[in-house]
Amino acid sequence: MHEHDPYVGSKLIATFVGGTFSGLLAGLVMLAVAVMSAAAAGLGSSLPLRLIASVRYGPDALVVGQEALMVGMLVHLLVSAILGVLFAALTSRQATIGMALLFGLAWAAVVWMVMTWVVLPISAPPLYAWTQMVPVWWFVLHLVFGAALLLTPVLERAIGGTPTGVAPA
Amino acid sequence: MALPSPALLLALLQVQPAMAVDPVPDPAGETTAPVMDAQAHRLPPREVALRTLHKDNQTQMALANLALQRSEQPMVRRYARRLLRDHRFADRRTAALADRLDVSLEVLPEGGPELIHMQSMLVGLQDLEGEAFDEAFVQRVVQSHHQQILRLARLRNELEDGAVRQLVNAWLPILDIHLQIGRTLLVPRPIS
Repeated sequence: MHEHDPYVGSKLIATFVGGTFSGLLAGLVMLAVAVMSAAAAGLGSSLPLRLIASVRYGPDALVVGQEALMVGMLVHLLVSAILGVLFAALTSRQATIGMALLFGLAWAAVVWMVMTWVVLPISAPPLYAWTQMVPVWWFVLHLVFGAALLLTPVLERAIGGTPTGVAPA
Repeated sequence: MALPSPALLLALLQVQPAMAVDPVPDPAGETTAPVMDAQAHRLPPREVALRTLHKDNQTQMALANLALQRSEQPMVRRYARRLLRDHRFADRRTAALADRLDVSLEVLPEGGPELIHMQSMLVGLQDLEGEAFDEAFVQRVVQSHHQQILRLARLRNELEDGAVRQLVNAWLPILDIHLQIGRTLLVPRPIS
């Protein structure tokens, strides 16, 4: 019986920590692209965070003070970290960078579908409205997020080691 | 009593669309000079929609610019900035689509009804300051957004599937967000 398998424990930690870090990193990359593109389109660099903050403030997120930006950032990073952990849990840590990139893009497409058609219409109608105004860009932003997850298996291996070398219990 | 001849009825029917008006209530709730809708010229629905979008964007940008000059209230200024940015973005989209479909957006001839509509939105506002200005500004934005939503929703039913309908469909919820924010701003807040 495997009453206490140290490898299982370290794998869980690696999945959680590695997934969190890679999710946060991917979320920051996605946010940076969103902020820069919003600014370039003349919509203002604060628009992405304010739209995310509509989860908390509703449409007023677009006009309340700087606190909306903090809330938007927190919500975005929290969701990114959760999605990173889920991705790490679903992906083998033996995956190569190329495989991780492909899985990441596939994961991004799934997240995009769930966010667009299930989560946002209920939780953040203003963000949903803007996704319909720039649908292609909204999808591209998710691909950026998915692509940026490619380091997840590397992080997991760095944190938790690999199965090879772990003595079976 | 003699009934009007079919020729006279036909003439009246033909004249009526050219006289079609879109009454625009002023902020006090009274009607101002009626504004002729582009529909009156029997344009294809997609042209009417694009011109309506353009006309409204121009009006909202003018209102927002005025608010950025006059208002000192941070929420109102942020609202005006949001309106300006969103409507400018939408107007660029509208212009690009009109260009692609070879539709002219030249609907603001000097002294024309659309220009009068825009001026009617601004009239009186320029004389106001402080809270009176803020309130009048938000009221006009709310009323004009409400009208535009109704107008576009009506137009949408006449549009065939295509890029113009997509634009109208995508833009309507954003107009609704502007409307909701405006309504929130009009609610008196407790002094803190």
